[in-house]
Amino acid sequence: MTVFLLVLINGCIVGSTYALMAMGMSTQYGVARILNIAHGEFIVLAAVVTYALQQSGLGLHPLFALVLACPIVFAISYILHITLYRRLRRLSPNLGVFEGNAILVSFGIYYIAQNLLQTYMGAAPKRYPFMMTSVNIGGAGISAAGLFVMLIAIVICVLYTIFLSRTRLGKSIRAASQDSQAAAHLGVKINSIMALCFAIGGILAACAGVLMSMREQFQSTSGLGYTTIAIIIVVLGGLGSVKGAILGGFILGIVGYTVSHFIDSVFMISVFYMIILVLLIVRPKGLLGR
Amino acid sequence: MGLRLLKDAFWGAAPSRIQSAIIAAAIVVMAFIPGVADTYTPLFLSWIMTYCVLSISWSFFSGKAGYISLATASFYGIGMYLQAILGRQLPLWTTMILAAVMAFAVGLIIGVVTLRLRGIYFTIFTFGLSLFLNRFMNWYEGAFTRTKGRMVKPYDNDTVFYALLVVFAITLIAVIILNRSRFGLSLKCIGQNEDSAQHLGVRTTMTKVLAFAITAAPVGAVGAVMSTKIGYIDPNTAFGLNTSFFPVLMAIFGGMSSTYGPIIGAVVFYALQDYLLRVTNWHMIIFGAVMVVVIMLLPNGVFGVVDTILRKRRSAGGGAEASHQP
Amino acid sequence: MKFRKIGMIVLALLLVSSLMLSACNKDSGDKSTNNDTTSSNQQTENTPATDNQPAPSGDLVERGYQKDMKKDVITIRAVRPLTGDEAIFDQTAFGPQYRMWEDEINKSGGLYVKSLDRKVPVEIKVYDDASVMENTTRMFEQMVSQEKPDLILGPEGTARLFACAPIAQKYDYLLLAAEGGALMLAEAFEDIRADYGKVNTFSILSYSETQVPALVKFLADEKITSVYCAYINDLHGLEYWDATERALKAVGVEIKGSEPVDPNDVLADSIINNAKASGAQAFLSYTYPQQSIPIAAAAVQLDYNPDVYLVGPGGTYDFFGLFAFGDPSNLYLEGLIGWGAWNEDSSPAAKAYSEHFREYWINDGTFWKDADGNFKDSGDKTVYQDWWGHICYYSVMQILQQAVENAGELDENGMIKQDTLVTYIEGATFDTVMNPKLHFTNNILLDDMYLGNIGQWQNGRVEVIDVDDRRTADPIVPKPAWGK
Repeated sequence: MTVFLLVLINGCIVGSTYALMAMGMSTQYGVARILNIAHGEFIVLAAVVTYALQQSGLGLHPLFALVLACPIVFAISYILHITLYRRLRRLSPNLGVFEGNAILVSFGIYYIAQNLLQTYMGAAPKRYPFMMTSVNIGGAGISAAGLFVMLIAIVICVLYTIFLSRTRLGKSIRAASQDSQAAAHLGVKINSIMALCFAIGGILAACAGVLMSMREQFQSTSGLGYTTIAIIIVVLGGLGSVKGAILGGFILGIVGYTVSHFIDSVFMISVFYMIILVLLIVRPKGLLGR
Repeated sequence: MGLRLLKDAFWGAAPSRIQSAIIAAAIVVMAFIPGVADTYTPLFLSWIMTYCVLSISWSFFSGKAGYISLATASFYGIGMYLQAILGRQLPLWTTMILAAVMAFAVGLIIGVVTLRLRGIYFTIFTFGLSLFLNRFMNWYEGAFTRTKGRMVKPYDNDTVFYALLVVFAITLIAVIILNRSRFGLSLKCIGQNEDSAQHLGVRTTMTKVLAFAITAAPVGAVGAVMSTKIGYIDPNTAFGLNTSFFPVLMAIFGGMSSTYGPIIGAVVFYALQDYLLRVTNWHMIIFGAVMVVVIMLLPNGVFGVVDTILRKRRSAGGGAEASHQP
Repeated sequence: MKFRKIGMIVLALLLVSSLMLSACNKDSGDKSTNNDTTSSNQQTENTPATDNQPAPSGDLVERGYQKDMKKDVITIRAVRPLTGDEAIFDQTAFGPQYRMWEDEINKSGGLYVKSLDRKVPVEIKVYDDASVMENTTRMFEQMVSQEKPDLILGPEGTARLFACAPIAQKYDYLLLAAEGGALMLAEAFEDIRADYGKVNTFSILSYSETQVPALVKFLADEKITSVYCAYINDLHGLEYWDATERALKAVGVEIKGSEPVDPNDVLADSIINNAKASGAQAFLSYTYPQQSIPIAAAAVQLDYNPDVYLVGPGGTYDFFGLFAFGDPSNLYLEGLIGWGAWNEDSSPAAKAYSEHFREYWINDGTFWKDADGNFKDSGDKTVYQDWWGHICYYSVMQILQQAVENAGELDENGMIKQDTLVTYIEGATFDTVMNPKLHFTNNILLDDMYLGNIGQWQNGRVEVIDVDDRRTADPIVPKPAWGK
């Protein structure tokens, strides 16, 4: 029973950050049709901002970094979309070509971002201490920082789904992700919605980065690892489905922690890729895909 | 006029007899290089030819059929591991052929398995495949062989150079022949519109799978050869992400619609990378920027640009050159 | 029409062959410049030109041969990862050593070359392989075959060392390795020796053969009866854990469990929970800082405090306390054990080196000041002392320096002769910071060359706790609670 609780709760902790990472990527792909290989770099960027803020000696709570990191990443993502991807979309003869080219452009951006980050922060791993205690839940010791992170992540997930379903902007985003042409006919400004979605994906990446830095170390080259995890989850949940990304994140977190607990963490990554390969063959649409 | 000459000589969409003659001559000339150059030049040219083979193979399948494959690293790594395991017992040409056969077989399996996947799903699958093989080999080596990485029996640079020259020549000839064949045309049809290709009687499934597997074979062979020049193979070296992405960029840069575009792309990109690594600390940033610019500004590659210029000139020149058009 | 076609073929052939020729010309150009320097040397020499032919080296040096030879700068080159995943090793391990050494040597007027009987300035330039292995071997081969520097420095890490050692051998270059060392390396050396009759590569860092017995002896001495190990799933982790497992079984220590750790994706909580559940007395974390830091942090969060907690490479770095717990004083790490080790009490030379290092890097804070832009700006401007490897890496530079000082000799092209250096290093004894009587045995160092194999954090500094006369303080077992 204790082992079951341990695996479940820790899996959810891991899964909550996974879900945040994937939600951003899913939003970006869902409307803007960009599978952003540089997604992980924005996560690292937000973590770096948090780290710098912690080192500054102002004594602020790491959550405060959201106020700083989100606008920065939002601005960068927005500018990237209106300068590069919008033009790329105009140039591409069809959506398939655009999706392919967008992956390649984002790969170039990944190179640039990773090396700029390395120039700024060095190659050494970074971490700051945060809530170094544990909480006893039914006999299982769970890290307090992990629980805190999970809580905040779930709050962000809920807020975002509410934003999508209740607000006017959220509704037009959903409309655009379901059928961009029809949405355009209905008066949705599709170009600005696409840029906005790409930037919102950036904000979610920033949230993931800030939260992740509270319980894990990171370094300038960690980005690609986050991106691949996010890609796996996005495929698992269904490309472009935000709810799918949340569900997929938690599933992958629990599966990952279970495998890591009972076998080892090296095999865990193989299992992740096995899941995505098998899933693509059996059900390419993913769990909640359209 | 000069531009047109050059274009006819090097970039014609369907290779003419002159072009074939030039390529043949170039290969013959290259065969004499190890005799006159120092020991490093053949190695450098081997690496360039490696990327030529990778990007030719990539553009034959992905460029034509419109499926962006990021599985190059998988086949390349399979070749490398084959050489690392069998290289001490078997001569190089045997392992090369074995690697090609193995890559072909794996390509066939992957092709059959991914039949239903189109567009981005296919891309993600192939991307995931390389990463899976990387992580799986990591786990396998740790759990079973209890070693990480393998030493590969070294060969001298000239042997490697000739081995690659052979693979390069075979790949090129095969692509030229296939391009002219019904098979190449079917593949192109699929790229333009898969559904209507099917209606036109193209056996799309078989064509796609076969093309995917055929293009995997030379990739496996060069992987086997070049592993001897890396000397020490571990999963991260064999299944590196760069091996998947670079051929794509090279092919796009050179222009996928022509046979020789990928070669030009590979030569330029590899030389650029080598130059940047040597002269600046910002090479990866510059390289990334070049990638972005290439895709943004040269969606049809260098070949496409030349073509556009020529077309403009032609229309401006009032059809003076029109008589040369086929 | 036909005429034009023929013309085009000729044109294209010319183009292709000119490309080929320009590729080949690079080399012939180098050769001719080399010849030029040789001829100018011959002109300036007063001794007869026939002496230029190889002859017993000691003889030549005694007669003052080569004293008038021109040599403006000693070029030292290396191919190392300055960007990408592996850049951390250059930024924290060998990098600070060779950069400090270069600065020192040039401030003192240069590197003394025996046969020239004068000091010549050195110039270190490092090419970046971007952490991609194919770049490493290719650029390494270009470096030793085309650029032909006077001396080369080792590549980063064991894997790259494996790949580069045969190339250095082929072009007959001396290769003094800094980072990297493994049991497999000794086997690889035997292969090279079988082919060439000698080995040009020398490995200096301690490896499982020297460190694991010391650890097992220590565990037995402290009456530790059970261990749990999390080892990094690479050459280092597998080799160390397999050696430890064998040795522990031999002395009857129970192995409660072991698990490999992925280099990129670590679920630290799961590792600590497993270790905790196993109830082992000692926890061995055979991992790099990227993994050790989250694992140690999870241990603190989950209140896991075994009697012995060992952290693999990086555990005895001064940055460990800061990066893992935000504690630059390292007091938080009280009782933590790591590989290494040495400290300022180990020997007067070690003390002098440590003070010098601190003064040069930490107080000045002028890392990455290189003006010609060869080195990356690391961003993190502080250099931290490593109480394991740094003293070995600095010794590499001292060995190189002393070899050139005592056996440095130019060949007919005005480059430093490599065979002489290799022969000299094989037989000579060096006065280095890690050992005043350092010498190689079959191209590696034996255990008695090191200042210590295991160290423990005590009061913010690393004490050597080997069970022999190298010990600088009694070990604290069981480990006190974290942060106490």
